[in-house]
Amino acid sequence: MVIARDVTGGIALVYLLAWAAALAVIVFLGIVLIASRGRSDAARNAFRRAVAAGSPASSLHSGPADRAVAVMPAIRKLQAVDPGFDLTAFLDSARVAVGAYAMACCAEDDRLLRRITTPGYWQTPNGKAVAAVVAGWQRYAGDRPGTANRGRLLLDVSWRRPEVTNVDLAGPGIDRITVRLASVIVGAARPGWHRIDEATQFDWEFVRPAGQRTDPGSVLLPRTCARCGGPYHSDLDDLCRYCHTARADTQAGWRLDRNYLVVSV
Amino acid sequence: MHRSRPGFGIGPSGQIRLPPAIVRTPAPRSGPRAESVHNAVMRDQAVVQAPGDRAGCAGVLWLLVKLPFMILRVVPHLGDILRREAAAQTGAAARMSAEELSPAEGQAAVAAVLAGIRAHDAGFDLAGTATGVGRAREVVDRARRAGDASAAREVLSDGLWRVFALLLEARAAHGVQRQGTSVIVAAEAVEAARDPLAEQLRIRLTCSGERYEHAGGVPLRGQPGQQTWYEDWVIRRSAQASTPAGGGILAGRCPDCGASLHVEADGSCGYCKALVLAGGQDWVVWSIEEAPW
Repeated sequence: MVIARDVTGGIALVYLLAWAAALAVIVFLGIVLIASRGRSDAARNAFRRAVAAGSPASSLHSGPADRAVAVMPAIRKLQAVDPGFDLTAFLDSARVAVGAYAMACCAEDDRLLRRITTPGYWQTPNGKAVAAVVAGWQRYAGDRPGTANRGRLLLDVSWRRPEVTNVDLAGPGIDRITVRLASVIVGAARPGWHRIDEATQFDWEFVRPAGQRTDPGSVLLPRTCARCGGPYHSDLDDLCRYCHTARADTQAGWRLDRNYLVVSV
Repeated sequence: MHRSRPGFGIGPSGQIRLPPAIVRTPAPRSGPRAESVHNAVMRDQAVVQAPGDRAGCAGVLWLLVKLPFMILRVVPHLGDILRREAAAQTGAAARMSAEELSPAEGQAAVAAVLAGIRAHDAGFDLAGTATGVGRAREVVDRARRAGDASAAREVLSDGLWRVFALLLEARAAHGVQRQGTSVIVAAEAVEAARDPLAEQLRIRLTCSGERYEHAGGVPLRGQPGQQTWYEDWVIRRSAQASTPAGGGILAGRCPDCGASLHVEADGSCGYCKALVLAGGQDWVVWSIEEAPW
């Protein structure tokens, strides 16, 4: 009898503690919302500084939103060793990464993003966050969402003010280019297709093996399977529908290795 | 796919299992677990789950028991939530600030860059280029309304076109339709930039007409009725490029061979096979930005 009473009391205590912790989480998130979205610039800036200070360096960059960086000499140096490198084409490829990221975050479809990222990307905090979003859907749906995801919709994605902020050709075995840009994602979600617009600034880091040269013809996504010649029906197709061979996505050799949220402080 | 368990509560992935009456009702829910009834996989799941579920007050009580633990599931994601909150603008704030078009540069600054462009490219004509942008807008608008991305291949840069095609595919899957027609009533270069690698122009179009989007009758953006709005079309080309004699991409001609432009799916000219949409030879549409709507 005593044991039963103790067990019951223990369960009740655990339950009360769970409620206390849950309420603490709710209160904490409420305070965060008030600080970050309230009218006070001082509170918002203090919140941003606190987040920037407490976040792992691999997830977030802080500083002024716009920074003028002289990278032209580094780009010239890159072009000297790789005459086929074209900044316009490179930035154009970077845009595909932005679209793929938006597709993964907003529509929970990571197929294209998987093809244009390095394996290391998925070990970064932001990569893990994207994977968690998609995995949540997969656990629910039992398969990749693709066009069957009718709960979230990506209406539009645009990028603003793309700017190369770093060119690092001295890394161990890899070339690295960082692009800072703001992306605007216009989405809608059920119920009622309410708008879920989001504007974010990221630093995108692209890498390729050192010494690789740009093949202008390889910039584009293959439209037919290299093995059987079968056509791909969509950019999201990552397997040939006929022979099931994995589809390559060259991106001229550059792959997204990590991206950092940029917090303006 | 997870296995169903009898009773109400939270499945292995955290979703709340509901009484049969609710499971069978096609009421949409938000978030990643939304719209299960529209998904064939979830329809099967619902059928499997329904017989084991219970209804009534027991379900509500069980939900109350589980509620604090459901809330605590957010704890591992608090860091990501905080970072997002600090870095992103969402909702109305995003629309009112980040989605607004860039302020126009001073006319003198634009004129100076245009003069620099003309200095190395005598064939450059701003009015003709703006007309070409207007034509490009018609091409893209037709593609949007037809839901056929290939129709816009001939004016969009490679990367922009890939994202455009992705969006059209996603929109078609959800039955999103863009309605209305519009005309350009004015065009103005509001920003011009030139560096040793590239030249870029931002052409602001004043559009008049009607535009709205809906999915199966549910309004998404805009509303029916005549209105006026602005769109920024950013075009870009290599700093070494010059205006082709017979007109280039924006005029519907291949900048390499001069033939009437027919672009293959891989971005090459159908006649001379030159890759023409990377911006190396002529202006291509590099970005499309619409004022919030």
